Amino acid sequence: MFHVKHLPKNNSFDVIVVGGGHAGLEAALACSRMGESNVALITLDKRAIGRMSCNPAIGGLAKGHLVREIDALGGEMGRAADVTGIQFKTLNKSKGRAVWSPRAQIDKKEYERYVRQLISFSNIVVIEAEVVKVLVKKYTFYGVVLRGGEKLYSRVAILTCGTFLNGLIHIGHRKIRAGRMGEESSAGLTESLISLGFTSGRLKTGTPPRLNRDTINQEGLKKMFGDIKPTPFSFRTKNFAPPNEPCFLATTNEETHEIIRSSLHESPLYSGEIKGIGPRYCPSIEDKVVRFSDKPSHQLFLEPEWMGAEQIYTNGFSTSLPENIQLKALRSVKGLERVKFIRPGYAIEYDFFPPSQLKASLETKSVKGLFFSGQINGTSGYEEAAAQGLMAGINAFLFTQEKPPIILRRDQAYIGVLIDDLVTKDTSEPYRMFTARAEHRLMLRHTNADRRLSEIGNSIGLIDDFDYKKTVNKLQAIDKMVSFFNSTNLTPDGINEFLIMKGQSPINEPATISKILSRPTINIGDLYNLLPRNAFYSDDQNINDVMSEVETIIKYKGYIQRQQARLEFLSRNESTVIPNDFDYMAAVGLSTESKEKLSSIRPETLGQASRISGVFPSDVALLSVLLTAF
Amino acid sequence: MPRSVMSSTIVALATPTGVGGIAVIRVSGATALKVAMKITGKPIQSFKPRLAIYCPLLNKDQVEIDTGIVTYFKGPNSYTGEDVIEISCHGGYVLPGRIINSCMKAGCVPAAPGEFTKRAFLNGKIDLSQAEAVAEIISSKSKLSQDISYKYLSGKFSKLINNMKDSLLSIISLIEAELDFSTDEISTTPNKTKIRMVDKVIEKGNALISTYSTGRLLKEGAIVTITGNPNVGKSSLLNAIISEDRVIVTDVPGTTRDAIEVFYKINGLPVRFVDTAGIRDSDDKIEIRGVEISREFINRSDLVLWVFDIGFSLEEIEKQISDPFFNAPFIPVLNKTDLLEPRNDYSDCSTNSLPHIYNTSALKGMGIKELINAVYNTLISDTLITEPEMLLTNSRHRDAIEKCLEAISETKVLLIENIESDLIASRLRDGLFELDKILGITTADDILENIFSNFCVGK
Ligand SMILES: Cc1cc2nc3c(=O)[nH]c(=O)nc-3n(C[C@H](O)[C@H](O)[C@H](O)COP(=O)(O)OP(=O)(O)OC[C@H]3O[C@@H](n4cnc5c(N)ncnc54)[C@H](O)[C@@H]3O)c2cc1C
Ligand SMILES: Nc1nc2c(ncn2[C@@H]2O[C@H](COP(=O)(O)OP(=O)(O)OP(=O)(O)O)[C@@H](O)[C@H]2O)c(=O)[nH]1
Ligand SMILES: [Mg+2]
Repeated sequence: MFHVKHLPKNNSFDVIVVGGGHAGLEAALACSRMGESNVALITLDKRAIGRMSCNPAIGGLAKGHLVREIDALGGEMGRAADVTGIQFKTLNKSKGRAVWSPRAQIDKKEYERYVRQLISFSNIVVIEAEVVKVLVKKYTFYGVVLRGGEKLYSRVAILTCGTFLNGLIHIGHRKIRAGRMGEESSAGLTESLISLGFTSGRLKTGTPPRLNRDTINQEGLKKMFGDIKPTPFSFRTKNFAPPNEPCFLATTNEETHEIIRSSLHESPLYSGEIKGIGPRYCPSIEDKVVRFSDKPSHQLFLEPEWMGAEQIYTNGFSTSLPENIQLKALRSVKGLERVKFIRPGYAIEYDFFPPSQLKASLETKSVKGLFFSGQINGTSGYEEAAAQGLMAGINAFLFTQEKPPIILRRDQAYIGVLIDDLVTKDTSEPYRMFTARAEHRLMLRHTNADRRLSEIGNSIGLIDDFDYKKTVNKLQAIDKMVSFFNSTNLTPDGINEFLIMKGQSPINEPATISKILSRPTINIGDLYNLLPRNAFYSDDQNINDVMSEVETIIKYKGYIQRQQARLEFLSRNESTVIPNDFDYMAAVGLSTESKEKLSSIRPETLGQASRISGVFPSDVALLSVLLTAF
Repeated sequence: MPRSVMSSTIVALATPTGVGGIAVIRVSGATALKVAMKITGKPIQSFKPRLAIYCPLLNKDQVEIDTGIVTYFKGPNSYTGEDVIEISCHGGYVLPGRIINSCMKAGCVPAAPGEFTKRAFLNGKIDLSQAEAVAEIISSKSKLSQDISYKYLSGKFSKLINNMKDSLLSIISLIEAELDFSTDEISTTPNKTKIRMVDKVIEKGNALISTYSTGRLLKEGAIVTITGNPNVGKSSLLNAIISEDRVIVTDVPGTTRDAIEVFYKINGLPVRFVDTAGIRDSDDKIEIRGVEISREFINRSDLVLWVFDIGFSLEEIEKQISDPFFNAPFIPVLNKTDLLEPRNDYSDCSTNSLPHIYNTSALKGMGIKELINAVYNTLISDTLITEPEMLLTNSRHRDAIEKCLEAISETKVLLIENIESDLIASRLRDGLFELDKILGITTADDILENIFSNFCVGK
């Protein structure tokens, strides 16, 4: 039985969100903020809302982009990370502006506390219970059944069950039914969905052991700090002065590897006990030792799980070996000779629902009003979950208003890429965001997420007018500076001395500032002293952000133009709509494999069709011919 | 599902209209077998895949009008990937048309130009470069160029491009991995290694491009222009070369007024000989224009035959050829040597670095063979150092490869300067995209339509 103070009459809500992970949280907050709507958040454990199941960090390569986009749209993850982060660092600084990615170590406890507070200030009704069944009539969702039989009603629901559906933890040969260590798994919901015609699959992921700080000898380990000048995730964060807590770097050695190698038969990953498919990009230590047998050592980052934490996360040592082997292997590492566990590493298997069953709005294709988001869609990672949760929340709310969904394009946001990939591609392993997945990568920089998305955030009421005005001012300052640079000439007299000093060829005729700045080794800071002060005048307080963005716009222009020309060529098909009732089976000439794929996935446009794995380019060409005849 | 383009069964004559004793009619589509039954009156079990059967051919009123061979190819093992039947009947202008009518009565629609090949492409039987090759085989002028087109059709060319693509992909993957994984997840590759890899792709691309001039030459024919003063025997020389009286010869200087093109093969190498008006000052408007045209041809030539007659002294000839009035490679020819006293041969005299002067008599047919050999060897040696496995003949392909090379050469500079790798990756993808275009993987519909509409009906 559940106990809620403000349960409405008839047990009826505007929106029901199942799950209080990163997906569920963003979804519930978006719905409640967009329309003061009456949102129920049902979760198995009230105290675990916003919990970080795995590493104490947010952001990182490509994931940092997602967080910035979530923030620009008015989601919460970025602000939460800024408030609770204990070390900030921009990754890939040397590899190009499009792939710069912010990342932060997070105080997990603070994070959960911050989230709890947000919820308590909102009108979200938290219900601690387990959903075991979804109620559907005439292909339309209308409610959920809780364990115990109570029913709750609403026109829309968002399922964000994470790793909990039939979750099964493996530690060596030991198996525990759980959704996360220490939390019950959920049974029955998968079966209910299957009986409605949904298809499910099985995936797995793993987490490393947590170490007791006081048993680590930090003397021999290298301290790793964040950036001295940290940058926040949120465009809305002011007065940013986070701590800079160090992590520690340890390294495995041959002895460690030998211990692991000789115990491989005890790893359920290798003995075949785990049926689910795990991510290749986030290999367990067993995988690393086997697949990279020529590497004499691997790095382990020891990350504090909160400020001054006695609990340390062993980044790089994800494993499902028996606890005693894990311990023995770690104790062969310098600095960890006497280490003790707070909790061993483990692998977890869980049900997911291949997301080709969803529309790009994240609503299911077969049940109206039912949305899925987060790890249940076969993704992995907090950021991926939060991004989907936000979009599902926005679209579920719009659904209640009978308004069209917001679907971000692939050239507009990583979130657009993420969701488009999910609904059109086969997921054979957990999906993680990579910058390489974004063909428009050069345009999708974390630094311009505000330009790309704030307007949408403002139009749906998630970014307030005050914050939006600030963004608009900043964008105007950038545009003004760019057009000044484009239209102002530098003379040979004025600039050649500087160019020669920089080892650059001098100019013979006047050239625009932009032209000079687009030379690879010239940067905007160099020009600062050579140019009139009014060139750099800006109302925006953060002149450094403005200058940096201006520099990027000018330097990347040519590359982006070429990238776009190429993509435009490819995307003429993109927007050709494929009618809902298109009969692939009757299309003479399609390969049988494509017929089946297309019939089951039912892409909405030719563009989507072309990205379905297993559908040949010639099939797409054929489809485009058929559609003209349609 | 409405009736679509692909759901129709198409028919067309596959051999040229009216030419030849036998005509071949091709039918492709889901109902091809039904058509075969209707037009032969034979039961379905008579038709086995890849079995040619001898049978009567009926007109649209079921009256026997011919006997022929009908072969059934069961999809997907057919040219188009669909069910296909091929009907060989007697040729001429009338009969094949009546059989086609009969097929249409049986439910076929006439094929659009290139539609058979288009279907083969759409059904994944061939890639775009192969589809183009079919068009080329049909229109090719020589055996050699047909050989090249067959190489395309057999996928040899696709393989080469795919090979380049693979190399590019492996570099891109290396860089992409470094963008998406931190150094603790993967080990990085030094830029030096990447540059070496890029160089290899550039090398491959350049090797292909360097075959283009030969390839084009083989496909379209080399242009060999004959020039010289009026009345030196240019037209006579051309007639002698092709052993045919094709061009008017008179003893009046200024006989040839226009450029006359004659197609001729030397050892299978297609050559377009162009006889032109002799170059001289004139008041005659037609002749002035003729001289202009001559100059235009000379500038477009792969080779020029510069003809003198024995009215020129050796010194005079050497003076002229040491400072030619045009820019193309040339062979100097001294004609009318039959009029020389024996032992007064000019060729013995030219010992310096000037090109060898070929002595001919167009009238007596002397020295012609040697001249033809010289033409062939010059054309071949200029372009074809060793015979490459594959010749590039299509300008669309050359342009794409060139653009690909331009993009990836730029990445070399970026790699050396250690510029942001997101930009490097983007330029490499630009390069990859160009190669994709060749294979048609990413080609937009309009280009496709354009290529297919250049086909003749029935292929
Ligand atoms: C062991 C482990 C290791 C991981 N390792 C990594 C990693 O290395 N890298 C990485 O990027 N990501 C990793 N993750 C994934 C990351 O934690 C998740 O992708 C992300 O947190 C998923 O968020 P979510 O909102 O979809 O689901 P979760 O955070 O899992 O939340 C699910 C929520 O649903 C609730 N719930 C479930 N079923 C029901 C029900 N029937 N009724 C009511 N409530 C229900 C739960 O109580 C919970 O609140 C790992 C996760 C786990 C568990
Ligand atoms: N004896 C001799 N006469 C030749 C020879 N070649 C050409 N002639 C004669 O030279 C005259 C001119 O020949 P053409 O072939 O018309 O010369 P041309 O260079 O084409 O002349 P134009 O077209 O007027 O510029 C004709 O009378 C030919 O018969 C040769 O090798 N020997
Ligand atoms: Mg003549």
